[in-house]
Amino acid sequence: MSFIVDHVTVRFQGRIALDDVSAALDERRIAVIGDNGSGKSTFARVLNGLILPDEGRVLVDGRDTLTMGDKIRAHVGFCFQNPDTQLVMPTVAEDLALGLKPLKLAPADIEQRVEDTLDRFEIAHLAQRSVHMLSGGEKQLVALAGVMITAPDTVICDEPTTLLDRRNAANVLAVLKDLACRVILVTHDLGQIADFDRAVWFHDGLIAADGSPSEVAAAYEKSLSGIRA
Amino acid sequence: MTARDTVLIATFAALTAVLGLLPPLPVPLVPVPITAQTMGVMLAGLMIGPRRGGLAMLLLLGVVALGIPLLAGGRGGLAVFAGPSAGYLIGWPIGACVTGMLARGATSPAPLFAACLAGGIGGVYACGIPGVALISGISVPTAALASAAFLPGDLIKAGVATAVAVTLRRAYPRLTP
Amino acid sequence: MITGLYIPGDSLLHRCPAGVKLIALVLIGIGLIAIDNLFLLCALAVVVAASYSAFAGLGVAPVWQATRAVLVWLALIVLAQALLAGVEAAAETVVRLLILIWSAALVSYTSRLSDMAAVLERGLAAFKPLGVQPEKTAFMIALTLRLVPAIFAIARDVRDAQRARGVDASVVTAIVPALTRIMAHADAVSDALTARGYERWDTAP
Repeated sequence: MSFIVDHVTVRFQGRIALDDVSAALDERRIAVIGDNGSGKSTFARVLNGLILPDEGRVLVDGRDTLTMGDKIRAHVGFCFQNPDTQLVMPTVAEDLALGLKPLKLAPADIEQRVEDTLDRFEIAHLAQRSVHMLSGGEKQLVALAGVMITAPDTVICDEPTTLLDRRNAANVLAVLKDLACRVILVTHDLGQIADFDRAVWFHDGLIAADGSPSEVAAAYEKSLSGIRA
Repeated sequence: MTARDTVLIATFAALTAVLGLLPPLPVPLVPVPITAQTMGVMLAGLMIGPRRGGLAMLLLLGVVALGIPLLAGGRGGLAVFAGPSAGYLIGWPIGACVTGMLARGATSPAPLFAACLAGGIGGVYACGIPGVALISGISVPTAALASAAFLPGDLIKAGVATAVAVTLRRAYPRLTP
Repeated sequence: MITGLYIPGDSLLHRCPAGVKLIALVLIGIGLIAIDNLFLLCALAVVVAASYSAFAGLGVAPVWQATRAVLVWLALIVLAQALLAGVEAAAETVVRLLILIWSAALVSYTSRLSDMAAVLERGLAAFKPLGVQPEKTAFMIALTLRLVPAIFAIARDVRDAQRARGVDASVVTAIVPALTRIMAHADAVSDALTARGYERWDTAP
C-alpha cells in the first residue's frame, strides 16, 4: 500500500495547518514527529481521508481520499489519542464487534474474530468487562484491538500513548511495534522512534526534516537547543 | 446518516438527560425547584438544527420508553407516557424542531430568544396543555392555568439557552444552519 | 451509573415476550376509554396492583414507586376535577390514570432493555422504505447511554475547575465551557466512528 501526498494544503478557520506538503510513504515503520500545532495530526488525518485537503490530493494505492475515503478506510486503521472517545459500546467484546459491522459477517464469524483478536492482544480476560471500568492503558489496547480486528494494511496512530502513564505507554508501544502491518506513528516523544524506518518532522505545517530517525531526531534536537540558547 | 450526525444527535439526547440529573434550582415565584432539563430541548434546536435537534429529542424519548430513567427526578419507562405530562414529552421533538427552524441564520440574541420562546415554550406547551386536559379530563383553560406555574422557569431557561447559543454558534459556523 | 427500570425475575410476566406485553398495554388503554363504571374501574385497579405480586413477583414497593412519580400531578388533577366536575368524576379520572400508569410501569419493570430494543428494531424495519435504519437506531440508543456518564463527567469537571478558581459554579456559569468540551468530545467520537467504517454499515460488503 502506498500513500502519495501531492501538494496538500489544509486550512482551519484562516490558519494554515498543512502548507503545500508532498510526500510518498512506503516504509513499514514511519514516525511523524513535531510539536503541538505543527500539522502532524492534520497530516495523519489526511492520509485516511478524515480530513480532506483544501488544495492538492492524497492518493492511497491510487485511490483519491476525496472520492473513495470510505473504501480507503476499510484498509487503513486509525488509533486516536484519547482512549475514551474510541470505545462506544458497553462491553469490550461488543465494542470489538462494532468494527466488524461493515463486513456483514455471520454472527458465528463475528464471535470467532472477536475471540481471536482478544487472544492475540492478550485481553481475553477483559471481554465482558464494562468499558468505563478499564484503565487508560487497557482502553487504548481495546481501541487498538478494535482497529486491528478488520486486519488493515496500515494503522495510523495519533499520539496513542500521550495520555497514558509510563508503564501503559510502554506496553501499548510494544504492542504497536509488534504489529505485522505498516505502522505510521504520530508522536512528540523521540524516544519511541529509534528503530523506525523513517521519520518525518513537521513544523508550522511544513516538513522540516525527512529521513532516518537518528538524522531527524538530531535536527529536531538542534532546533530545540536553538530555542533554549 | 453520517457519523457526525449520529453522534451529535446522541450527544444532545444525552445532554438533555444529564440536565435532568443535575440538582434542580430554586426559582423566584415558583413553588417547586425547576430542573434544567427542558433547556436541552432549546439547546438541541439552537446548536444542531431542526432535523438533528428533533431527532435528538425523539431518541431521548425512545431510550426513556425502553425503560431507562433519564427524565428529571429519575423518571422513565412507559409510565411517563401514560401520565399527565405525556403531552409535554411529545412536544419536545416538535419544540426542538421549531426552535431550530426559527433560529436558522440568526446570530443576535433577539431572534434566538424568539426561537426559544416559540419552540421550547410555545411548541412544547401546545402539546403539553391539551395532553394534560385529555389525560386528566379537565378543560384546556384549566390545564393552561396549571401549566402557567412552569412559565417563569422556562423563560429563564430560554434566556440562558439564548446566551449560550449567541456565544457558541459563532464557534461552530459549520454546524448551525 | 444509569440502571434501567427492569427488575430481574423469573415470573410469568418476566417470561412473557415484550411485544405481547406492549400490545396488552395498548388494549388496556383502549379498554379504559370504554369503561365508566367507578366500581369496575376500582376493581381493575386492584387487579393491576395485585398483578405486581401475583404475576411478576415484585411486591408492593414498585407500585408505590410508579405512583410517587406522578403524585403531585394526581393531587392537582383531583383538586381541579373535584371542584369543577364533582367527586365521582375526580375519582374516575384518578383511577383510570393509576390503572394506565401502573400497567405501563409493570411492563417496564418486567422487560429487559435488550428485549424492548429488539421490539423497537423490528417495528422500525417496517419504515425502512422511508429511509429509517433500524441498526443505526439501535446503535444510537447504545451511544446515548454511553454518552450520559461521559457528559456528566465533563459537567462535573467544569464545575470543579470553576470552584477551584473561586467562581460560583452553577448550571448557568458552567454551561458554555461544558458545552464547548462536549462538542469537542462529539467531534472526537465522530472521527473514531468514521475511521472504523461507520458509513459502510449500510452498503454491501
